[in-house]
Amino acid sequence: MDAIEIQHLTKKFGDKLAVDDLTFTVQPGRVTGFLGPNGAGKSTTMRLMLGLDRADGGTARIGGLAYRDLPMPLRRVGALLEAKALHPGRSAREHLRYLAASQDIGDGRVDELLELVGLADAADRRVGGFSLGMGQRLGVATALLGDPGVVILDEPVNGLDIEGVRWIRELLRSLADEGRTVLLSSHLLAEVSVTADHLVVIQQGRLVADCPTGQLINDDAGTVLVVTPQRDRLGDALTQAGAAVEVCDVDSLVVSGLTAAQIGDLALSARLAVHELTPRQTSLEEAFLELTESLRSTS
Amino acid sequence: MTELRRLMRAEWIKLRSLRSTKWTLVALVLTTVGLGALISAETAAHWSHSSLIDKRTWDPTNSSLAGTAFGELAVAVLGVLAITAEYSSGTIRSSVAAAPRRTPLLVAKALVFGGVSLAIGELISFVSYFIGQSLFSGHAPISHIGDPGVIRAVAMTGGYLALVCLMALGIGTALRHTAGAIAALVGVLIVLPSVFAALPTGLQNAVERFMPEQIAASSTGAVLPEAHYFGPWTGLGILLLYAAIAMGAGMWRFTRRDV
Repeated sequence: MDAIEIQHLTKKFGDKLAVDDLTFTVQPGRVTGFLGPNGAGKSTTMRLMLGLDRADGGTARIGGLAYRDLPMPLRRVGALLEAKALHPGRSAREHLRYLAASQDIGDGRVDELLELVGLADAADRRVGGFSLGMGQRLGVATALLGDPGVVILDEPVNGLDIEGVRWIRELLRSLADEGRTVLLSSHLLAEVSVTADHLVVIQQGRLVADCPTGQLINDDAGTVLVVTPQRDRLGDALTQAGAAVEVCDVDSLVVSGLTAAQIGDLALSARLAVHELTPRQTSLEEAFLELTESLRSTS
Repeated sequence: MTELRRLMRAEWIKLRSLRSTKWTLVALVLTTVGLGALISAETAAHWSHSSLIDKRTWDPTNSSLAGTAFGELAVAVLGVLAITAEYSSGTIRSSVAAAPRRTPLLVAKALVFGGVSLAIGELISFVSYFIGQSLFSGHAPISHIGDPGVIRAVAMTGGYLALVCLMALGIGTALRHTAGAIAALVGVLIVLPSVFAALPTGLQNAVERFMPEQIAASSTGAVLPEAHYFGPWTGLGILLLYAAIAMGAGMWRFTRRDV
């Protein structure tokens, strides 16, 4: 399946940098949460991935190709964007039919999807009369129309009731389990942390974090971040000393159960180098919420 | 299936699935045929009282096609809405996501909407012509479809409507807003000619012949127009050039801007 590779992506609106030298990769087979406060540049990044906006620098590639070079793009990438992308005067079926025709997809697939998203009974009603939740369901059907290996969803649970939210979560889970690349944006960590295996966090168009979900929401104040060139050996030593150790990066560990002083002493006696030893006072979740709050109060 | 054919099928489904396009087409047929017939009936009724000059310059072919002046507005609205309705509803994002190179998308739109307006334009032109002749019959001299220049004049009327549709599509794509694009078209088709009418005769004759409306008027008669107007084929060439310029401008902006 295709990965989404973002490299040095930059987008300006006038003088304002909406996306600022962003680099990250969205891997297949897992749900990646794309997180950031409102206005952080998530939607713009997604629009750049789809070639709707033109980048001022850098590239967004899907399976090694720019979106505009995909011959039948909806068969490779399916997207649900936050902004409405359909005419209120058309029925759900007609909306799906013209998109299907543009990708040489048969009408049978249209019926199948209407059934899948629970819109079979409303298929011939004008979408102008749809509730927010029905609109989102049609958006999901649009995204899945071409049976794509890459699925991009911008704030998909907006306007859905509890049942709809659960439905989306289970759907995304099963898509990732089938090996697809799933990117899901949200401005709420609590929401994506349930579904996402991996998180990419941006703020003011810049990358803040790109790590497994467990690491970001590990809210044990009292964990210690250890940066060491001998990660595995130090990890074993700490584990033997009774600490819980999580591998974070090629050269870093997140350790709980020992203080920074104890870890430092242990590393010295084991003759292992330590480049950084940082007790974490707050979890990243708190940091993220603080960030969101401070941006909200300044804007 | 080639990309262009796939996109043309998609445009065809889009066109057929919106009430606004259907009503615009109904308005196009009714105004052109209906008002044309009304004007022809009026002309026939008053023929015996009309002046000698009017009788000398009487062109039954052109007179039966008078409804075109109204039909061109409906066809302009059709061409503009073909693209601006996509911007106002957001459909353009779905369309461009499905056709990210964008140029084939606009070409498919031009072929479908140009084709539909040509087919309907020809249909209503020929219908208007025959209705007109039957109304004139017995009151004023009439023309026959086989007379010199008649088929050319009637067929060009349908062609004129298709070219107005393409100009409208191009201007709509460049401006992206319904109201602005329709205002621009009404300006070119209706307001400018009446501004020119206020100019001194020499200047008026020099510029007026470049107006689409005037070209249509002088190409859609079986009788050749006055010397300072373009002949039918030159006129057609100029209209094609206008449509190409408008579409080119639309394409240029469409392929460069964010949607």
